[in-house]
Amino acid sequence: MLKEQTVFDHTKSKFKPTTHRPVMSVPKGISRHVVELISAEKHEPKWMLKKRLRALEIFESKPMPTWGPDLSGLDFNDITFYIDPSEQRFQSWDDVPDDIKRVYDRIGVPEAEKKFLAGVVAQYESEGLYNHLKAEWSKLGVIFCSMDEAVQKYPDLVKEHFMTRCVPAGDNKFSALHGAVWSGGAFLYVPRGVDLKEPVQTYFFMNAETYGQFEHTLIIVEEGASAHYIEGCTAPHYGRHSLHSAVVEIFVKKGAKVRYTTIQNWSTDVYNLNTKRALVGEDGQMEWVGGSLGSGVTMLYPCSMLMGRGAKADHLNIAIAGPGQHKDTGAKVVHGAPDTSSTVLSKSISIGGGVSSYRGLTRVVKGAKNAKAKIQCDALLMDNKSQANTWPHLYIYEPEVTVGHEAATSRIEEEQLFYLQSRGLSAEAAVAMIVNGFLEPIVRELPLEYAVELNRLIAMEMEGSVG
Amino acid sequence: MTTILPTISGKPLVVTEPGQHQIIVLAQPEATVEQLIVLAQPGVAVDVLVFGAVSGDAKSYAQTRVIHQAPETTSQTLVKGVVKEHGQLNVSGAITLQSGAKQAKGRFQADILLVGPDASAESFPILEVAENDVQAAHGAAIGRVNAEQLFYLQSRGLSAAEAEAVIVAGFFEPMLANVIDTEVKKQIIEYIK
Repeated sequence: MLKEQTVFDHTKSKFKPTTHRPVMSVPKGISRHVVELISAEKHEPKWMLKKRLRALEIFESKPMPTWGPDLSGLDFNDITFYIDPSEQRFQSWDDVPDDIKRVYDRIGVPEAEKKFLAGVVAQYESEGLYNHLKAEWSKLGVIFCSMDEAVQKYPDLVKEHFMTRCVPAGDNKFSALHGAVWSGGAFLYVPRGVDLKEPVQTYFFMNAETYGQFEHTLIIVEEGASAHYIEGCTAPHYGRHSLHSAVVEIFVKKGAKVRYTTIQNWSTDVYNLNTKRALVGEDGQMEWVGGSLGSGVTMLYPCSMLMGRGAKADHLNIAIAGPGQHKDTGAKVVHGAPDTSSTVLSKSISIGGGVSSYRGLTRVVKGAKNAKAKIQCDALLMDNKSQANTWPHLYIYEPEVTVGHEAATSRIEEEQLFYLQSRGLSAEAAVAMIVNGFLEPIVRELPLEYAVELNRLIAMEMEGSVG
Repeated sequence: MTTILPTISGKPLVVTEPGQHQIIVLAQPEATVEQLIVLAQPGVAVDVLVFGAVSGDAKSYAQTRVIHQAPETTSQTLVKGVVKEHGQLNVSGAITLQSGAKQAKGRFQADILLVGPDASAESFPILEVAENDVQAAHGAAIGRVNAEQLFYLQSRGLSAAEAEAVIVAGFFEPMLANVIDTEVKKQIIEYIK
């Protein structure tokens, strides 16, 4: 496909929403020039460009992490940091490889969604439902829009919350990179006392922009309000990039309640290195429900900062590491106030040479009296080529606490298999049933359509794992 | 059952003789006690008992790593720590089950009691499993002295300090009872005091 190279003079660009987007391409690698191009393409205000350039400086000064999975295959000079959202991976459905099509058929993905996920179309339309909900929400003062739109329309809210107290650009090397080149993502604002009955899903405006490389999600839930936010999808998603580095920032104000559900299933050539964090105020409740199925290397440790008295966090996480996959996931909880409590439940499956690691942190600061923390990690090893690691870190600086951690690694026992087969199940169906039972405590918290797709996906993964 | 008292900190202990062994580790104030234990032959079984008593302003580090190299090896690491006053206890315990260590069993459990108002603890239980025909589990718990137990003992006429001493002694007791060598046991009782 021929692309016209457009050079922007960002000093002249006034931020005005454009109906016609000029097709642009950004050179490979990262530099001040690339960051300026991205900002200009989005007609961003000056303060945002300044923020991006500051993040770039931090990115350049920070060394690569020396712990965790091997990232040596990541070459920043070979990555395109901004891809025009309208660009597609495949020209037509016929170009999509057969094995990808087969996966979609088996797990029952709707036709229109298939094309989007395989990268044939850049937009998946479900606007009817979305517009209906949007009208309802705007009556309540709820804002739900793309992050780029929020920068233009709600600069005060964005300036106060975007990569400031929650995930500052300097948090880690990849959050700094994100701060410099972020693009797309969603913004949700729920005003005081509003209880959102229906979950808010990025599914509603599922397009290449919200499912980008460096999407930014900012969720602000005011005092006493509640929201359930759902991101991602269970079906495999074939993007055009090799590095995915998102940032999610959630502000749970006093007495507010937020549940954040996400399922990630990028294709296995993707490095998936994310930073997700919630600041939880007095009596606030934060729930993370996550599933990590795809991508090659994943590093993801959702974090809850319990900063107000009585704040509470629950982390539920599933990680599946198949052949060639390295899952380094976990949970971080900081108890920064008295009477705070947290639970972490992590389930991992390693199969066909996959490596899954739980890496967690629980910190109770001095003075956080009566803090309660419980961590449970279960790992299922399907064969002896695969690996499961558990590395929880407990830092307890306050004596008046109750902290417990438990972990166990198991396999599918012959007796369980024999029993199910004696009842007439095939070996494969028996394995899938046991695995689904292992994941059940977390899967039951997922929305129905996600759970159904996940169960079918697991049945597929388990094929050939017997005998 | 043989008792092994590691003397030189940091020197790996390679156990090749099948049968049950007991390894005792005592955390020392302002020091790092590091013990690597390799189970190199089938049929080797070890019980690693780590005692940690920390008080004053001391910081103690106790690190153990048990590597299951051979099949049918068994290990159990138990850590009991009591931290008083402004002390800090750092416990790190790894169980590594290498690929091929079939039918191996590894377990780690660390319990730390924070007694002083300024006591703190850091705990890193580590589990690394590369073989699926094994049993592996670990656990860690950190907490304070049970207020009800304290109250009960005081209602029977003990002073607060005496009651606390009784609870601390009771906390170590089950592990102490498992120590086979009587000489070593005496040493540990001295150490706990």
